[in-house]
Amino acid sequence: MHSLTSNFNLMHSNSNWESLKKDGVKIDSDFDSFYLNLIDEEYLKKYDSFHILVFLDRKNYNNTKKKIYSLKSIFTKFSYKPFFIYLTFSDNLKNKEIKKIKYNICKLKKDLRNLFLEYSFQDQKKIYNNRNNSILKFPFDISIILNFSKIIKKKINIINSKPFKLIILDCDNTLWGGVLNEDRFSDIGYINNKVDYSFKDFQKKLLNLKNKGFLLSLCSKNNEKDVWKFLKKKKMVLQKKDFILPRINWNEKSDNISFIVKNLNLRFEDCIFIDDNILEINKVKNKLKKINTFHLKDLSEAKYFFENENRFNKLIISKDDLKKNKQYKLKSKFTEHISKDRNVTSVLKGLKQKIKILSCGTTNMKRAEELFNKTNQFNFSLNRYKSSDLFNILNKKNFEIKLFSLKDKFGDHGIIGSYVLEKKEDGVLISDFILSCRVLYRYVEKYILCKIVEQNFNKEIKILYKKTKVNSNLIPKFLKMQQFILSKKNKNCFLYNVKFDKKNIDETNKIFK
Amino acid sequence: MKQIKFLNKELKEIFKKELKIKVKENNKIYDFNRWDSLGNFNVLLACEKKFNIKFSNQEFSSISSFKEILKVVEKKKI
Repeated sequence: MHSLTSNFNLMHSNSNWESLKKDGVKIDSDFDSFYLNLIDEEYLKKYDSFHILVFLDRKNYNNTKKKIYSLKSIFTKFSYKPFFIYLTFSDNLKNKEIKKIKYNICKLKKDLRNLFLEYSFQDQKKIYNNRNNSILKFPFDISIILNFSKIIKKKINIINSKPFKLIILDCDNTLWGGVLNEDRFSDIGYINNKVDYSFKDFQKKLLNLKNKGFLLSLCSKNNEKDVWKFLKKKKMVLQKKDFILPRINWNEKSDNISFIVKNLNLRFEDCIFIDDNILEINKVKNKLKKINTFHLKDLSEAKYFFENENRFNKLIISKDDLKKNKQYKLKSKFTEHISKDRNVTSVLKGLKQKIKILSCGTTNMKRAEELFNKTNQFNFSLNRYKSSDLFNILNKKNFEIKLFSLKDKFGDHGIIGSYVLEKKEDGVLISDFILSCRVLYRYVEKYILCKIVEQNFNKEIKILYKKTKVNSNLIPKFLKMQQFILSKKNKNCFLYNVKFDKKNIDETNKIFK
Repeated sequence: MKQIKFLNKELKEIFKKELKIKVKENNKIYDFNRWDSLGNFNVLLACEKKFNIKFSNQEFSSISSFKEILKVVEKKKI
């Protein structure tokens, strides 16, 4: 659910709002109540995003500015929720005054990552309607509602879309113009001042995405050493360190991509492959049906594509996003490490893994929401809880939400999983259990369950598994390996008894000592 | 006469679209839950758009029944 509120009368029952209402937007029925709404914590917990339409004229400017500024603490406190302020201006304001207002409000935005300002209506002075303003306190022509809806809808689409996790790139004619080892060094295109979007801009955009938590990888038919040398020699924006598990060789691209994606424990749906060669794209698409692809015919299209594909848009960048690249590098190191040694437990002991179990609260809410909404493969119930739902659960007496983080000798993995416990009279139900795939197969999943068993000694513990397409691969294997007994089955819902003997628990604990 | 009938029908459509109610000739504001003062304005605004007319400030704040709307629209349109 999203909230739309404002400093004027939104004419909430007008039929032009219908399409937004269908998208789950609650349109405020009170007049000028954005401030009162947004200082109410219950209200803030209820919605996933906040859209504030603000109309400024000479009379209300100072007052409204004060209100917006005093909301700063709220924006900071609810940093995991996006706030959009859409500014519109009365036709009695001069351009100079508007500029000053914008400047003042922009200052507020400075260190707030979850506040977004929009002034798409700045030049449309025609939209102002004096009669509607004086009689209805709705200062525009009524048809403007359709424009408002369109812009807000765009934002909601971004909120609802799942960002890509991995971008796999080709090299020749993708990162640069021309073919390495065939064209002369000086002929290869990179910086070009004549066009408004060069390969350098393209690489800059990719680096920018990497810094927002997208992973970059390479899949190219080339000689690996030549590519790294070339990047260095041309002083390109992207360098070897920016790519994770690059596969530069002469194998089939679909095999290489498969290798990258599987090793990072990602799903093809969350990856996009960018290549200039339609043949390669079709070949990959043919083998790996679920992967997303983009055919880079010419660069100006790429610019348009980045801007318009919602899955390249990450609204709020969490602290974990910034660490993501490092964490996945850890994961790839771990994979290499473990493949060298057959005795898994001794390797794991050597990793010096440490798990911390944390309570779920406002500080880690954004990450919790992310885990519930992004994790697929090792997610027992696939409940897509939004932060508002999580708050609701936290408020219930017999429920418990915990998060857990992992550290090892390679570094800090951050918060990587969560579970929800429901304490009933006759036992404990683990209704949700989530672990990020990049730390699977390290006994973390087993350790957490052991801890739950230890804490609820002598009680009957059950775990719920709702089988769907996305989580039907790893979880059944895990359940079988632990030899849990199925106690109930209803269509695609399974209830398993969670039981470990003492020896088993001690052995698991040893790994984490 | 034909035109009045036509306006009558169009106006009913507007009530249906804006307020989701089936209105009759002798209905007026507050006869339905949805036909409150805001609903009334929404109907008038939709009429302005649909018939391409403009209500005066006086009309805009005083018209409050189906018959009144029809009368003013008719006067401006025919």
